[in-house]
Amino acid sequence: MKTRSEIEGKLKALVEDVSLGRVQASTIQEHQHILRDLELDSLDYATVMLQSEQWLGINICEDGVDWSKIGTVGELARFLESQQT
Amino acid sequence: MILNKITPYNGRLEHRCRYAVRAGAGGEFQRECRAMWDYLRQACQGCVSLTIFPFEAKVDWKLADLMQAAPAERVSADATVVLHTSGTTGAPKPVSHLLGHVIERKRVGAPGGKWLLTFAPFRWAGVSVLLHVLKADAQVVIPHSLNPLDLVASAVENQVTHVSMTPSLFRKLQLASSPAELSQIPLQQISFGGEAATQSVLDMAQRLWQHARISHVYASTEFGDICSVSDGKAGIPEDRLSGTRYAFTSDGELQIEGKGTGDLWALRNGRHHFLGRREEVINVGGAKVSPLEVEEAARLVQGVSEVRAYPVANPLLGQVVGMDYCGSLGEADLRCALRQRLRKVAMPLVLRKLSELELTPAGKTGRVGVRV
Repeated sequence: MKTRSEIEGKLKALVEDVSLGRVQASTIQEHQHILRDLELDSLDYATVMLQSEQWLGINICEDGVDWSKIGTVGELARFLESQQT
Repeated sequence: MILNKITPYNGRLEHRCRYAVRAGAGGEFQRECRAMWDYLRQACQGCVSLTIFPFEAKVDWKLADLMQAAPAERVSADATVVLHTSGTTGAPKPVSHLLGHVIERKRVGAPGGKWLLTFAPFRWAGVSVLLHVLKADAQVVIPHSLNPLDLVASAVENQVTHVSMTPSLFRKLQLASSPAELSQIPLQQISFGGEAATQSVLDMAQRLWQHARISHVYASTEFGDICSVSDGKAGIPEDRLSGTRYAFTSDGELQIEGKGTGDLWALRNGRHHFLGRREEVINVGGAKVSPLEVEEAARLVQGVSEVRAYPVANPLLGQVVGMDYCGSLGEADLRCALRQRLRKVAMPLVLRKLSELELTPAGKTGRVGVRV
């Protein structure tokens, strides 16, 4: 299982990758909203989610998930961490 | 008329039972083809009612099951072929065609020729080829199996002049044989059907067989042959799908005589281009992506030999594009190459490299129900 810190690091790297370097991983803060602050679109967000799933070796369980509450880097990291169990 | 009330057909019912059991018992391809050929020849000569069940039918079909499953059909002087649709988009359903009408609508060129059979005999495409051969007074060459190597060997050995195949099978033949070997087949007529023939498929076929007439056919089990195009271009000219018989819904589904076909089309530059079956077209957050668009882009990348694109369920966008491929190129390099060729929404978010991509029993690229 990955720690939250490791997951956050991976998410920042993925954001840099999908943004083709526009957003540098080293500048990303956990409170930043992926769509609003980092200016990724929904397709980029889905890419980050899918590649996180593959990296963690999990299938996200969508039951009861309120996606409106998973918007920042930190919130996404916590969500993915919880999905490991 | 309900089948179990057709007492005059008791003798023929036994005949059908034997055929159904034989098909389900995994009989050899050639034996099945010869059986269908014999049935069709008899049907064209007299009143024989046929019921054909797919190869995947249960082996232990009993007479009572057949009577239950067969559709109510009015017995008429015309022979009737009852086919089951492939069932890839739901439970197989029976569809009937009157042989007399089908043969009358068939347009055949010069008589004669040797046709290679590349479709299973109990599918509409296979029956259509056999009926075409009958009308054209031609010969049918039945390969040992539908394996691409067997098809090429049979075509070369018998010097086949006519072939009807799916574009996916054509791509498999190119992987199985060299251009030099394929060019040895003295083809005069190539008909692509079952799937959309892309421009690259038409161009490649013309390069291999420079003197052949190349056409692509739009047909379905439900409606039979709908139209054939031989101008060397992908898509169907707009006027071929116009008139009172055809209509398109707002999202591009073709309707024929008021019935939906499940096929989505886009009109571009005066031609209808096939996007895919409704369940194959990928809806990425409201934007429609044709799997053919993704596949054609991937095939242009060196190091990719086979590819299929399909919808993958996604909680954020509804669906995203998934893609399986075969070849020497790594996933990261392929993603990089696709970024140059595809609009963003069409980029596969799920990418898998496989050792082989199998075709469906109908010789098509299967895109529905792909497990990721």
